[in-house]
Amino acid sequence: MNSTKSNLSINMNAFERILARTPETTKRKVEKNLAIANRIIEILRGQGKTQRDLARAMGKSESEISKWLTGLHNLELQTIYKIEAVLGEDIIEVKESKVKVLS
Amino acid sequence: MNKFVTLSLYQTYNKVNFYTFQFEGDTLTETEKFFTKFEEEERFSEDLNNMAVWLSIIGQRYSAKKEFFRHEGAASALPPPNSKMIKEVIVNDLRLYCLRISDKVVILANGGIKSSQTVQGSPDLMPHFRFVNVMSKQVDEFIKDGTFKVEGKNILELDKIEFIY
Repeated sequence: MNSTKSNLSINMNAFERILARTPETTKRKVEKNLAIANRIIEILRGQGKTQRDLARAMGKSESEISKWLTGLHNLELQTIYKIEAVLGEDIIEVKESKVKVLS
Repeated sequence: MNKFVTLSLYQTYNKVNFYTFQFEGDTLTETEKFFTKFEEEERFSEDLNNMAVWLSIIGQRYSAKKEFFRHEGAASALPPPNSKMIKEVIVNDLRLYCLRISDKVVILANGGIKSSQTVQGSPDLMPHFRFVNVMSKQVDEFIKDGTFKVEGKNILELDKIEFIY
């Protein structure tokens, strides 16, 4: 198993080796952060608004908003709720539980 | 002495092709130098993981939307389109420079650690910023004279593109 693993990594470049070693938790975090950033970008585009508009509405600098939209920033839930309120649209949805409640 | 610099494909995904620069005579591309340099450094491990996963996800799922990339402040002093083309991927103190050509084509360069408020004051970064700056001007010239052509996520006739640095 180990030799197969090392044979595989021989053919990988540094970028691929880093990807392969990245823990699942980090992957999920970046995936979710990017999904949130992408959703905000799509809402802004759909509403014909700019980052500057969002910055003004949130009382933040444009540079701060541009940091949020990279998908590399860990936005706090409170901030996400505020963006939802300002834009009037949902950014995150939570799956409903499929567990049946016994009566 | 000036050196020739060529382009090669670094990573390909459904929505984005990431290219990279390579100096004549070098075994590693500029982006491979960046990832190799920090790969074994414990203190940058998490930052580097974040960066690699981020690149792979935008490549697979979202495309290289301009909003995902930060604008390098020092590039503001340059005239457009160079100032608009030069972007950076920032994870804490780590910076990776790139030229964002379109939603589907990104040329990754090299980067380093930002150790002060400015690029000029960060010795690990400044040479790489200077490099992307020069490359962005040549890409722009090549776009204008038709040497640099993009179709979808591909840069056409890669072997005909040669930069000088």
